[in-house]
Amino acid sequence: MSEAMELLVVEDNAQDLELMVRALRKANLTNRMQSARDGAEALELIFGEDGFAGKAGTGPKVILLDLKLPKVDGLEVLKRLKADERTRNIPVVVLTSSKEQQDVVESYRLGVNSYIVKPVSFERFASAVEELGLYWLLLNQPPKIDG
Amino acid sequence: MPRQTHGANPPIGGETSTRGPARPTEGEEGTLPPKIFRLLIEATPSAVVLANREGRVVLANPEAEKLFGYAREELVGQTVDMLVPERFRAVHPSYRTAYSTRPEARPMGKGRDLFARRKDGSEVPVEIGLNPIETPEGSFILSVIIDISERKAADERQKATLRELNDLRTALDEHAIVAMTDAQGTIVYVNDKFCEISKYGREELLGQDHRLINSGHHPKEFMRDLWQTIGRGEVWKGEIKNRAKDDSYYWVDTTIVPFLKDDGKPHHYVAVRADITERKRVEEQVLELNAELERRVAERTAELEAANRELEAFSYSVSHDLRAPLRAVDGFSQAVLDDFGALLPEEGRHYLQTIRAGAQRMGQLIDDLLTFARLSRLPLTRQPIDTDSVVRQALAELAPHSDGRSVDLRIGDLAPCEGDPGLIRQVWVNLLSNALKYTRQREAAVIDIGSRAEDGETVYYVTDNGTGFDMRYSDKLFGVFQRLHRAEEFEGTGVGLAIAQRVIHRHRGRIWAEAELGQGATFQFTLGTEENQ
Repeated sequence: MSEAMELLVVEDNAQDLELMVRALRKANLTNRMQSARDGAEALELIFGEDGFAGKAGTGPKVILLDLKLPKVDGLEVLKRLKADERTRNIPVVVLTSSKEQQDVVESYRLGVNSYIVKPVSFERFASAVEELGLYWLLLNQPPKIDG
Repeated sequence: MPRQTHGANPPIGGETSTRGPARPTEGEEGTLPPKIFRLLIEATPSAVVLANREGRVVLANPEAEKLFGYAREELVGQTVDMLVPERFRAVHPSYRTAYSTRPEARPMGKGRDLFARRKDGSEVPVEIGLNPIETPEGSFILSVIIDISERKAADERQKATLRELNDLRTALDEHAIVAMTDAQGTIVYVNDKFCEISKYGREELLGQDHRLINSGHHPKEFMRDLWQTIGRGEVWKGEIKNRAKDDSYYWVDTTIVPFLKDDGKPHHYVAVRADITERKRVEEQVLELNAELERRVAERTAELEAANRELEAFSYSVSHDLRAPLRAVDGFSQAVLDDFGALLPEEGRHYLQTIRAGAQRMGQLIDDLLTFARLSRLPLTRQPIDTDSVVRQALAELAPHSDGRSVDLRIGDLAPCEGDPGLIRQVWVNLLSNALKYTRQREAAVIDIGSRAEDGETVYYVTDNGTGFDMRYSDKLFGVFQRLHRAEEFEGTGVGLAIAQRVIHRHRGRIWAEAELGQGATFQFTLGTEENQ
């Protein structure tokens, strides 16, 4: 992965991940996608020795984040991302099964950019992922990060 | 009854009595000159009458004139019987004769209840002192008469007061536990009730102080306050726990009244008490029961809270984990259709579609169930609601479902209400979507919406001319996942009316339905008020 990643998907459910990849592939959005399968792995990718937080300009254009994750949960990852100067401006979209108000409220409190509930229906799920990818990767204009 | 024992009157001769004063004391003064004797009689501040042996008055002083109402001239020479009330007049001369034969000095106060008759006929209670006087001129009797009407009246008053006091004390003793102590707190009086409750004999209590029955229950400050209060001369009231001789305890409601000397310092304390042991016992029992009840309520609350947390965790888990596999079932079925659809026979594609429909339906059921469960958990907020605009918004939202159909919506008067806006809106959406759904097969659907006042409350209603239902199954109508129609006829999970009912019940209202199969249905509900929540 020599090129800078464009999309980071943090998702522990292999089937959901596969369906997301499938939807993104159909929209031609998977070329520079990377995935993490739990919160700890995500934090390592972001803040680890070789993490993009340390190298300006290498971060993804958007992070799709599940909330219920092994080891470190999604809210904690979100909190760390939004608390750090270097990663604060990366848009984070929570993509989760949870419709619980407490999760929605807490995510927004921590500074999430969007909160999407995964639909059961594949079409709707696929179109949600596709729209997300299109919006955040192609349409959204992020602020220039220093350097 | 008065006894008249008026003494006889042995008068002294003429105006020149030469013998000394009445009392035959051993010749102290010797002979008293008659003039001095006369002056003495005149100056005596009591009525004095001197009579001879025959009972005729020889001398009377001004006080006698005043007492009897006769002038001196009217008295002298008359018998003293005229000064006796008429009812005793018959016997008086015999008393007089008896006295004359055995005369002795009779001091005041001996022989009670004597009366004198005045000139105007009225009677005066008197006391009479009789003194026989022997002179060379013969025997005389000197009577000194004192008007005691004032004293008698005072006596009567005192007697009445004492009687009253005695009655009060009898009543008090009958009711209360009474004790009296001196200023030092030494018991000087106890009544029977005191002995009875303390189980001490009177002789064991007198001379002791109240430490004898001290239970040790009250803190030092309590007793100090008591003594300081009564020491200041103020009444103290309170409830005291005492210990009886047999070491049992009793409670008394106590009032201690200090009685003060002129300098304001108490000389005695009177304590009046009532036995409140039973009341105290009941009070303690009530306190214990309350504490027990509170403990149990706290326990149950903790249990409920734990159950609620578990339920929340459960819903959360259902929300998260149950939907993911369904997404896989649906998603990969679709993937097979997309990628390999061409390789499958028609039947195989149909099966995959069926799998997808099942997964999606289960997803819907899970969502509805979660919504239903959440209804019981979330707190209710009551606000004024403009029912009319809520209904119009709901209808606008549902409009796509009746696209291309002929639906006659008749919106009548819709009274505003108070309730949770989100939840009440949900009730209307559910009832109206039902009305639209079940009139689908009607060429001309008619839906009547409105409210009316009935028995002091507002009844809201939605009436349709749709497919209706059999009233025999009406009890199933509001149950979760209960359906009165097959899924092929009318889609749905059977949660809509259950949600409506739960919302209405949480508002302390009622919801009910009337219908006839094929003729339409009417759903009606009321919303309770804040007060009966």
